[in-house]
Amino acid sequence: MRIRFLSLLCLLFCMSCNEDFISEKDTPIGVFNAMWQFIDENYVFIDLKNLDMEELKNTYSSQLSDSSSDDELFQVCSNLLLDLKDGHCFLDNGNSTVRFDTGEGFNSLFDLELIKQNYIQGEVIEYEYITTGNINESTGYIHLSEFENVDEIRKAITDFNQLGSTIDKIIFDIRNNSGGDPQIALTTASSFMEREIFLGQIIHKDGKAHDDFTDPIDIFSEGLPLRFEEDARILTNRNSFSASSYLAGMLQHRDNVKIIGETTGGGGGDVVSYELPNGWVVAVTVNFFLDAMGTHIENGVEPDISVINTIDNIAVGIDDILVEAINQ
Amino acid sequence: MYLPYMKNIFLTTFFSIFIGTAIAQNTNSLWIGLSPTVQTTKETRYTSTFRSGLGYVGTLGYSSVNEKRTIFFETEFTSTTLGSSNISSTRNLQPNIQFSYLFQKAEKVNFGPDLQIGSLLQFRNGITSSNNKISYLIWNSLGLSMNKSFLLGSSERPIPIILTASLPLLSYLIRPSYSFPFTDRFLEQENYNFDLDNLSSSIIKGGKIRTLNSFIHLKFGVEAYRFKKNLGGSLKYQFNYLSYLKQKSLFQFTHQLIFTFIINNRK
Repeated sequence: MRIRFLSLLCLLFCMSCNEDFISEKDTPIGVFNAMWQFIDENYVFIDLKNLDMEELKNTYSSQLSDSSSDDELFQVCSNLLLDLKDGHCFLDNGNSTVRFDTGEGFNSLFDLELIKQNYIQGEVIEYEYITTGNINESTGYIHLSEFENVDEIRKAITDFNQLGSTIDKIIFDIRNNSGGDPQIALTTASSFMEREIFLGQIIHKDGKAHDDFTDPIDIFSEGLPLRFEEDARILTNRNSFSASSYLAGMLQHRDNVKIIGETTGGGGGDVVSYELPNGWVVAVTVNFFLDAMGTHIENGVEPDISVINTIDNIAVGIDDILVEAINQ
Repeated sequence: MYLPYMKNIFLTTFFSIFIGTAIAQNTNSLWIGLSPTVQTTKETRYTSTFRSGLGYVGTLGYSSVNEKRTIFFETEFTSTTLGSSNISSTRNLQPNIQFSYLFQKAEKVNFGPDLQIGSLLQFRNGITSSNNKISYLIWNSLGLSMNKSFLLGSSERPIPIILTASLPLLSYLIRPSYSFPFTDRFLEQENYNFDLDNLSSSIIKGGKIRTLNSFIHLKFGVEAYRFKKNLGGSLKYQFNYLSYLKQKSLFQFTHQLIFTFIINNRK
């Protein structure tokens, strides 16, 4: 009986042999392989971005040997990461962090001081993440720098609603907003809607294969009692990233909302991070948002009205995107 | 690297079953202990390598022994910090409750069912912009436990020794989903928002039944006692092996040297 029991244990332990038990070695090739494998098994946009992972592996691993220095290894690993062209993904070696700049190649000119001085009439109210005021008697202005404090957004809604019928348009500026908590983006989007409506879907990676995804999970607005009663103009530029792209994606195609400015920087997902054998940390996107029309926002949300600020006009105090929003 | 560990596991299991002879009968005992612990963990949800570190373990237990059966109840809390890098260190918190009801099957050999509720909660330091700052494995396990006791040393002042081992056979396990800190159940909600609505219920309901081939939690201990009247102390070496082998796997080895203060109440 005991021998049978031990035999059973032996069998079960043998069954439990697992390739994850063997760790990658702390060599340049081992570190690179661990990073490549983590990206291959977890990054959610490999197919969307037509990334040939085998080719990337061959290209970059051939640049390394076991005698490569830490600097050389970091450079090669950084190049692999930057090829993902994803502003959420990063590589951190403890001293510096490498991240793809989604605003690279775009002017994305924006100056909040210029708006405060040249466009806002009367009092400028500033909270930690929100700057607000009136452009004229019928137009209110809110700039949100990050999606970090939902109470500030509620306060701004209350302030404008208390002004009653004088304000009929809100300009909601998310230019140079690098993102934050997606839940606050959802709450903010819900503030522009009268009732609960379908806003889009979230899909998560759920396996090692490039197309292993969960079923889409529907997202609805929150049906908030406290909401903006006015029409909205959402101002975007290429530096409107992550949660800003979520907001733009959720508000696209709404009758009372127009998006004005540049295509957003994208960033439609959350990241998970992973320790490499030498202690460096790499992070990749593992889920993504589709808007209500089923469109990816990873490469940015296109505006309804495309406007770009010019250096010349900004130099003389003119914000063309804001002017378009005032006139619309 | 794999085989030496497997060898240890087999040897400790073997010894726990076949070696030993005697310990005091008809005794209720209450004990409390605090000691250092050495732990090595590989959580593939966030690391590619084994990380080791030091910590402490605290125990509080009760047992009731007579000629026919042993009732054993112990709560245990382990805390360790693994890794030294400011971007890759992890704090492990590991509470565990164990209840065993052991029948005497042969002279000084006890064998019976074992119930354990425990968890390994892992908190990563230094990572701010990541969705997997925490990881966890929560288990509710039904298994087998055994102990064997004998006397060591001279016949004038023998040292009672007890060998213990336990192994879950069937477990209800709760793990995060493949790429998200919450369970698959949380993701299966029809209406999803980014907040933590229904998180607690989704975690409780989000477990899966696993058997020994995907979840192993072997505990092995060797304990030596000294008593003066009804007060005593013990020194116990405990080895725990934990592994979860589905999708993103988890491995852990823990060595503990536990100093325990014991109050006995002989019947």
